[in-house]
Amino acid sequence: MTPKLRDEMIAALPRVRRFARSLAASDAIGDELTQQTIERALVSIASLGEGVRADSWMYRIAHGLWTERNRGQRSRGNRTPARNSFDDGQAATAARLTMLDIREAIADLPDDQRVLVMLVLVDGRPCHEAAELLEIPVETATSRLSLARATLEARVFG
Amino acid sequence: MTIDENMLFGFVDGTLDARAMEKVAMAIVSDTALGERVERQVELVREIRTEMDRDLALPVPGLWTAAIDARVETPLGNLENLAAMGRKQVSWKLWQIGGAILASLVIGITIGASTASPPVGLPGLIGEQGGQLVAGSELASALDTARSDRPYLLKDALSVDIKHSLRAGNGRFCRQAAVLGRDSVGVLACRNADGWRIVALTTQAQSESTDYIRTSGAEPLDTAVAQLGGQPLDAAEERAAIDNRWRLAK
Repeated sequence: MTPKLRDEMIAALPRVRRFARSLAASDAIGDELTQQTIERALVSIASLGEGVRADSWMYRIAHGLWTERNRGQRSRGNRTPARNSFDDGQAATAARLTMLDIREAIADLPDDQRVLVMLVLVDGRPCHEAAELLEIPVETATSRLSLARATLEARVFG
Repeated sequence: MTIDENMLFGFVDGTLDARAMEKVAMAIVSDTALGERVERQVELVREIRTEMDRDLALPVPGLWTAAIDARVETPLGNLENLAAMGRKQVSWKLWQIGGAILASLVIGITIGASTASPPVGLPGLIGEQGGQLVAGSELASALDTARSDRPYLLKDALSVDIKHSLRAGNGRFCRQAAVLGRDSVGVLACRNADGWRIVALTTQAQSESTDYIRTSGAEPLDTAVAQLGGQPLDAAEERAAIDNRWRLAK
């Protein structure tokens, strides 16, 4: 591995961990996934194509590992179930979800929507780039992200 | 004028072309509900980013960076080069433990470093430098001079037992040691120009702050050692490294 790639990989670690934690909807499992991503990346450096960003490559590995792991059985990790912040009778306009609830609302999204929220809304990638990373049509990515945004808006704002 | 969801979200994200942006902007002027939706989406994205960005502020576990560092090609060569020179292959024992345990362990260490408070059971032996755990002077002396399997006595009825010395895949010298006392603590440290950087440690001590994960032995360190890759030193190589003050050979 070249020092340049080393620098890029290390610089990407915080974002890869954030991405993995969101994928797993769990801090502990997300950190385990990050660890596995690093291990997989280190043994497959030869697969890193010319000009491919190290962070995108690691995201793809993390997503692949998570998909493998969940094939057949979805694991939701250890987050507590999201609370309905409107149960206390407060007016909807005053009942903004707390930050923790926002995280839980994201965790409650289907995996294929959550990953797009992370890539596009959090990481700031264009939708076509997220679609390419996930190897899905851009129309599919756009549709899933729209669904996720509408769901989150309803959860947060009632 | 109809604005579909994708256009609305594209407006919020600023990804529409100029003409489409203007079209949505005009629609917002005449459609209060649409304007409120845009406001909600802007706020939603802002709150999501604020929340998720908290993860970026977490210290990165030293083991993760060490594992990457270990694969950087150096003038000294990497593991494959050393193996090609006919030297014995590494065969560190890999224990079957979950990655989460290891990751959690190292995260605990890093959190400890950020608080600049020494781990329970290592008073004065572990310090913090720039957010990274480093060996304090007494432990550094032990790591500099002790030979494997010869206890190095510290004050306060503590001793250091060097388990292994190795040359990591990136050429750096590293040592795995146990600090023995009331509580047994395992340390994996790698030498750099400034001293011994703590890559991983285990402790059986109960931390009041719960920053440290209790473990039942040195198994996680064995895994950490394996992740560094590299070449264990035999007795003669270790002696030479000690005599050379762990400087990297030219």
